[in-house]
Amino acid sequence: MDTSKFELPAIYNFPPFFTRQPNLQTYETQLDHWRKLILDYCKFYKIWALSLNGLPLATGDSITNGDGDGDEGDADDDDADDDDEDFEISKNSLFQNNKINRSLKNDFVLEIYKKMIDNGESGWINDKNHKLGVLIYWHSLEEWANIIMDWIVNTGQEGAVLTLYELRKGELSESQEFSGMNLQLLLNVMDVLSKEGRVRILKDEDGSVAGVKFGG
Amino acid sequence: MPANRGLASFDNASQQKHKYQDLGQQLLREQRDKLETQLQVFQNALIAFKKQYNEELASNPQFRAEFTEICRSFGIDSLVVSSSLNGERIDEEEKYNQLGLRIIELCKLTKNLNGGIILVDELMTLINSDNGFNSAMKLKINERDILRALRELRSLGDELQLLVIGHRNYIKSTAQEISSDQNTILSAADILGYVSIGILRDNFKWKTVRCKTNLDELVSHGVLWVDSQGEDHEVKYWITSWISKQD
Repeated sequence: MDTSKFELPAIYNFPPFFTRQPNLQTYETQLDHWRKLILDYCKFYKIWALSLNGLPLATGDSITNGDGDGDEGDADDDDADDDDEDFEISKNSLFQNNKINRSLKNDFVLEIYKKMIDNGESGWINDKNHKLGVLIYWHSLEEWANIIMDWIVNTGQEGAVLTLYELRKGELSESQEFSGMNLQLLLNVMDVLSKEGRVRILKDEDGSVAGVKFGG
Repeated sequence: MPANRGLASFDNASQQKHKYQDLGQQLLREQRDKLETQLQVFQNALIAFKKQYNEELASNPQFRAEFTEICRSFGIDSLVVSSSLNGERIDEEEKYNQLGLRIIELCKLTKNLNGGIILVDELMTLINSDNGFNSAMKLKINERDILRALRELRSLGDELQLLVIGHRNYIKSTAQEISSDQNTILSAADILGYVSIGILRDNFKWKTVRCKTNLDELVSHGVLWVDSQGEDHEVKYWITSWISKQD
């Protein structure tokens, strides 16, 4: 068995799965299956963010400032040393099943995303510009906060100041699940930790985040 | 051998890191294997225990309840335990009781997907794919078993009903009645996975309104799913048993 490829559930090849169901109960079931599929799929391929048409977005080394028309999925990623693997799947959207020639309509995708956001399983990349797509929280922000804090404690880094780059791309964190995390997602996690007083966010003169001091 | 000095020591560090990671993974794998073996041993012990104290288990409800609880708390399927004791009359009853419970559970679990009408074949696949830790003890429930368990459940009420559509057996767990028109629709849908107004009109010489009314009703019961992306732009109505029928 090929373990490097995500195993799509059988319902993915069920043609009506791609049409919004008129029966409310059926619709709720359909939504649940899509939510779960998106979370599993993104977790498997380590996809942190999806465009509105279901394409994986780059990890967002340059913070999107809301001017891009991110609906094409090729998020601006001008950081030359960013070694994002060229996703083979990125040519195909999860919301487009070529085998049965069915795809999700945009308004249905938005309904799914909204449901995930309500559930704390997703968040807009930019609250003011939904076109940029969504972050996918296959672990909740709270879970990510704990995962990162556990790692800090286990590696004796309490009290240390780390840059966001070190957390995302540092050699020390390379084997960690959060390695390579989307920048905006990491900022959201740091917000959670900061509100709980578990970290202090250090800012540059221009207001951008320079680093994080762990341990309050 | 002298350790690498200066810059070379960095190479060493990263090598060591990899070694630690490999070691870590190996340990995890070993632990998992060990745990699996232990659980298998435990499951076999439970079965042996059950054989030995069978009569007492049968006659003492409290003892039986505690035993079932132990099985459950270890994630060991009581259906697997009870059906591994074939040939002993007292366990037959137990086996079908457990099977009946499993059928009720699965009907409930899948009701929102299929509107409460499930193919017996599909139910069988679901039950048999769910085994304990011991792969040598795979469940082999057949259609006869399911029908018998269903008959035994009858004494508790008629919540579950056997429904024959076309030549196939279904279990109906919804209170909704299926009319003969709807029965015709579902058996036609079993062939391609779907029907459409056109298909019904052509094959059964029904008026459009008769097709539409019945299809809408089946959709509103959650039995059929709507697909509006068909090649010929005609809405297709699919049955969910098609999901598990693909290769």
